[in-house]
Amino acid sequence: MSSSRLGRPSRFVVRAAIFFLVFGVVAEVWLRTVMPACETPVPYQQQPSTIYRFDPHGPTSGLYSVGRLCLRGGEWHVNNAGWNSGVDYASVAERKRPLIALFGDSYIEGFLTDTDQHIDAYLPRMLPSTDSYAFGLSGWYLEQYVAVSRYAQERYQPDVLVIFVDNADVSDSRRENGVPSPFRWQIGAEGQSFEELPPTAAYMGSRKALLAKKSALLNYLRFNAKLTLPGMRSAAIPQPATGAGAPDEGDPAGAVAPADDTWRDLLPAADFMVGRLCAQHPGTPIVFVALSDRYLPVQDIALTPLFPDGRAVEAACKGRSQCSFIDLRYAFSRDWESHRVRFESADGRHWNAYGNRLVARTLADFINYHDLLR
Amino acid sequence: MYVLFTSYKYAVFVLIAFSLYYLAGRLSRGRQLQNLVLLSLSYVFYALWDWRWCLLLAGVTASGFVGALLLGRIRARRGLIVIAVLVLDLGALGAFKYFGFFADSFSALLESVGLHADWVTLNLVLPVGISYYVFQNLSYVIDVYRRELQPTRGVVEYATALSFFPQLLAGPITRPRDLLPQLSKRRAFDDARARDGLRQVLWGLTKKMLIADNIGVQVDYVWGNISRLDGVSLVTAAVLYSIQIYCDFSGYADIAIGTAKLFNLRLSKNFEYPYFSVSVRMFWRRWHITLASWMRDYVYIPLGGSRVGAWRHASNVLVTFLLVGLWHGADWTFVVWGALHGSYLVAESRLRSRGSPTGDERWRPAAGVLAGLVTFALVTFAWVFFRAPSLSAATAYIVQAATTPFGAGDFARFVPTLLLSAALLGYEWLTRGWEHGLAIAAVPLPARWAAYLGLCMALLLFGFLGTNQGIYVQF
Repeated sequence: MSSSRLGRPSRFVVRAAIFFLVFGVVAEVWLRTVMPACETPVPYQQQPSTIYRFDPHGPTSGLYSVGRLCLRGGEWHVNNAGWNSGVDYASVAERKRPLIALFGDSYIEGFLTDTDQHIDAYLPRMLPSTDSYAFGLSGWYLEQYVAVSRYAQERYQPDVLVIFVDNADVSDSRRENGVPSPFRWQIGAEGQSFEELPPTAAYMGSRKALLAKKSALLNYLRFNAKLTLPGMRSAAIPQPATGAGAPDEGDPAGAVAPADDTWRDLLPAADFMVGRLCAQHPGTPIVFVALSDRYLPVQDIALTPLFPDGRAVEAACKGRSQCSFIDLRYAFSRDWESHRVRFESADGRHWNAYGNRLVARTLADFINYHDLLR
Repeated sequence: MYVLFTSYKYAVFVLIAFSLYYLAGRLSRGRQLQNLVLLSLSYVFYALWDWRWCLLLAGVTASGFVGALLLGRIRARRGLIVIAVLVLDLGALGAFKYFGFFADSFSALLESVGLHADWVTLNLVLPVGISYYVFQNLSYVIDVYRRELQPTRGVVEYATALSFFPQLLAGPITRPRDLLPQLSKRRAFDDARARDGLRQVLWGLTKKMLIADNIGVQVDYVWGNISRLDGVSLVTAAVLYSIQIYCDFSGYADIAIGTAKLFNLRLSKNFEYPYFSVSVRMFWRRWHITLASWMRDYVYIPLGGSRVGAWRHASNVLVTFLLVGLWHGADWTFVVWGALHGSYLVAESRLRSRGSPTGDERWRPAAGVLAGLVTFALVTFAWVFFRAPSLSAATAYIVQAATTPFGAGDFARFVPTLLLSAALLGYEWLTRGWEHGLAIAAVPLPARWAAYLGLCMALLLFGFLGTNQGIYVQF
């Protein structure tokens, strides 16, 4: 071994560190220019009793991208109230037109399409002289919509409430089934009755997390590659449950099919939360929209029974004149038969602009037909 | 919180180990502190998987160390000591790795005659790496028994040789006779070797995370949809699996060997471009070299090797390869895989004994290509059994491929990974004289850095980051 080959280990480590630094810079530039890494807004919640949403004082626009290849999602914009929307929300005193408020999870949050392609952006175009505000965040469920609707009522007093119901929205609402997030509301059972349980903590954004958000490389690892980085929460979006029951002959009338009884166990909780919504918004029309299974017609799969949580909500609506229920599968199925245009966005799951417009059209027709804005 | 080679935790672990190791080298003039650091860190590394396995590793180490010391001191009944170590080590291996297999087979046999035997199952969890360190230990004791090696008195050195963390999970099965002389002296930092080590690690990561793991997705898809796919798809997936397992295992070996170089230690080579072999015999000189040579030295040759009659030779080869199959796992699929390779070798040997054809020199390259393709096809066919979850699944795969050659295929899905595989084989052909695919120390610095950055970017964008453990870790 010649002496020239021998070196100090510390020098070797420094050289390796320099390489990784250069690599970091190259990756950072690449992920900002060639393949833009996913950008997300900064979460925001003042105290447990307030609603967890986005910080209107943080970055207010960015591009959401999907997957390792950074497929384009949508341009997001955090408005004055902390929601991903192309318009600022006006208080009830400032607003002149009737308001349709949309509550939902990531489908309403709308990171996969530009803000002008959201359902709340299409609705005012289809229902002139109305406003539409969206209140949605990834992973939310029915009890959180109940809580957010109180917030919306306080500030905006909507004239129609539209609640988008997804898989597991009822079961995730129940504390007994676990706590998906300490920042959200849930319900707890006490004997035969239920009670609302507030968030157990307020989201406190750390300086480290804020700093990490500025790095395209870290954003890529966290949101595109879905890695759980040390000291950070997993960014993987919870996948919806798929146990919507065994396929049967379908149910074109939208009636509750008898094949799967799982929904009956969910009915008391669904009934409690639907009841809370009605009590909080007396006289205001509430439209529940079941949003799952949009992929079935595309894959030529016969309609299965509606997912259990949707059926429980549908059953809870019966007998409440204030409430109505739309099962979107029929709209998607009919549209696919006629136009053969797909509904999913770059992530293969959420709706694209075409899907959003179809949902908005279905909703606008329903609101017009039932004259809900009278 | 186990540490996979492909996770960032491994990089952190290696950095800590590297720093402590050379710090120990500076603090003490002897090698003892360095070995102690390596030993402690290797046990920590193993304990991160399951601390109880450390007891097993320590037990195996003790059996070899004490057994070898005794063999060095006594002159009579030395065979008994070897047998005792064999019983202890193979007993542990058998209990953890094979008891379930034989119990299930026995149970199935009893079931077939109408008897129930639920009591024969133990449900033991297989400790990671046991097959590797048990074989290292046995080789040491047998070498001492044969007086080919002096027993070491350094228990730390010996324990380090068996537990050295880069080779602990998936080899190479570096024999103590190769590692002990290196551990018996102080290791100074060797800059050129360390840099080459990092290059080899990067090359190993590329093969594992970029090629093997991406191909693995396609192969898993095909194995999950055998009845819906046609023969073209199934054959393509079989070819892809050949590339997957090569990149997976040789990638792991490269990471292990490269890491060892950072500590100025040399582990045995485990692969040498096996798919460029023109016979199955040559394939086994280039594939999993440390296992093949172990089996040759400690099973095949003691059985008589090739210096016996034709039938005895055939049975020696078959027995050896049945054991090679069983070493991989307690399943009939591995037994059939081993038997197939044994049969190939016996058939090759019979053909060779008839003398090689004396053809026209002009056709020799073409004959070589043809022989290479036939060898690859034979090896690929055997891999079907190796990959299959059961013998019935392997049979279904082969029957479906043979009876439905064309039909509902999905060939387009394989094109990117086929191109990737072809690119790898082409690159390996061009660099087949190199120690590893990234041995580019002589290349100008800008080109070297461009290559490193390109591979790191490819890993970042297309590699599987920290999710898949190596196929051979389970053995």
